[in-house]
Amino acid sequence: MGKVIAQASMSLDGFIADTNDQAGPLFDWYYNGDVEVTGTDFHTSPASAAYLRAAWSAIGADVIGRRLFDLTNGWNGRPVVGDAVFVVTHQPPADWPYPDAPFTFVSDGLHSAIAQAQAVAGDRDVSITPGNIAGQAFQAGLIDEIRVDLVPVVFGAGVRYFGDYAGSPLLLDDPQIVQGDRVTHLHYRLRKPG
Amino acid sequence: MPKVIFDMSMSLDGFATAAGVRPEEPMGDGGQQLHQWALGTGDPRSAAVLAESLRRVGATIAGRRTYDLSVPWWGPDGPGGEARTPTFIVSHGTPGHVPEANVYTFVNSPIQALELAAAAAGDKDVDVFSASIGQQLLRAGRIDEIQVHLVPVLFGAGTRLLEDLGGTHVQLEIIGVVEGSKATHLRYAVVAALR
Repeated sequence: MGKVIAQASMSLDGFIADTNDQAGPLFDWYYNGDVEVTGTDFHTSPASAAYLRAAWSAIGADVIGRRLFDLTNGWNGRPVVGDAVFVVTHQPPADWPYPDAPFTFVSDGLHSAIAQAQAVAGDRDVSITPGNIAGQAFQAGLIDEIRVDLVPVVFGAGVRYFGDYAGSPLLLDDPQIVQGDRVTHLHYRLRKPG
Repeated sequence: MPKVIFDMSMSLDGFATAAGVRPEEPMGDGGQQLHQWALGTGDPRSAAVLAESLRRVGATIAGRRTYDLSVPWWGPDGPGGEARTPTFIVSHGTPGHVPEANVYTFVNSPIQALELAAAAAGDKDVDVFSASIGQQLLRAGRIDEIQVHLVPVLFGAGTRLLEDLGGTHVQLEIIGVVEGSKATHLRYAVVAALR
């Protein structure tokens, strides 16, 4: 079975979006270079493009929360990475215009969404996109690795990468680091207890 | 004018201490993890970051809470140890007991601490070693650089390094990133408040 990897751009003070759910300058690095990232409209620095290609090539499926799904309109039915998207939601949308898209609405919780994503991903990894669902996933010990695209900005308020994680201290290994243009890519593994 | 550097260790989830700060556990429960990188891991990269800090810092500013929790370890010499760096503590009043022949000056406000520290630092830098004082000076536009020693741990609770900034975005510029053992040393210039 593959790994479960949390992945997002984050401000130095831990936010993935501002109080209006806008990523603003957190996404500047996706568009500040001239290397096209295949399958997207991103054009980044060479270092960031290589980092993204390596990170995304191993992803088989995504787990996202309902808020991100609504904000992006489910990427209009086309997963950015992986073959399938599992949306954790209490209430599936009534008017989803892409019924044939590889999106599954999971109303019986995060564990179920991750299990279904892993079934699709097989040996490949499952990506989980922070906020709140990532906080829950850390709390439940479901995350194997953390990828943070650390952006040089302080937000002061907004939506946190680690959600409302309030468990006991979790130790990570020293990260692998890739320096992009106005972004520092940090890739951590969680140390498993025992 | 000396540069003013907000210089702190922080967990990946943004905390400058773990939860449960008290005299016996000044960094909170498990919070000592934040300083492991500085305690001699045998890692030459982190040692170089620390040596550079000691070389460039001419004066330090801290808050009263940090002082009260740290003075048992600092003794009369302050956070700079043998260098005996002049250290300005923002405090309402002077503590009843202070070590003899100490490096501390107790002042009423962060701005007053900054003015005295700048004069004392000469051509060296002023280090701000307190989350709350650093936040106040950042809000006042008086921080030139932020140095964060980003430690691979999630605390989930504790004292946040950066908060109460009033929803203002502060734009930074990456000066340098040093991979160390038990910390990634990130140095940023403060460019501007975005709005």
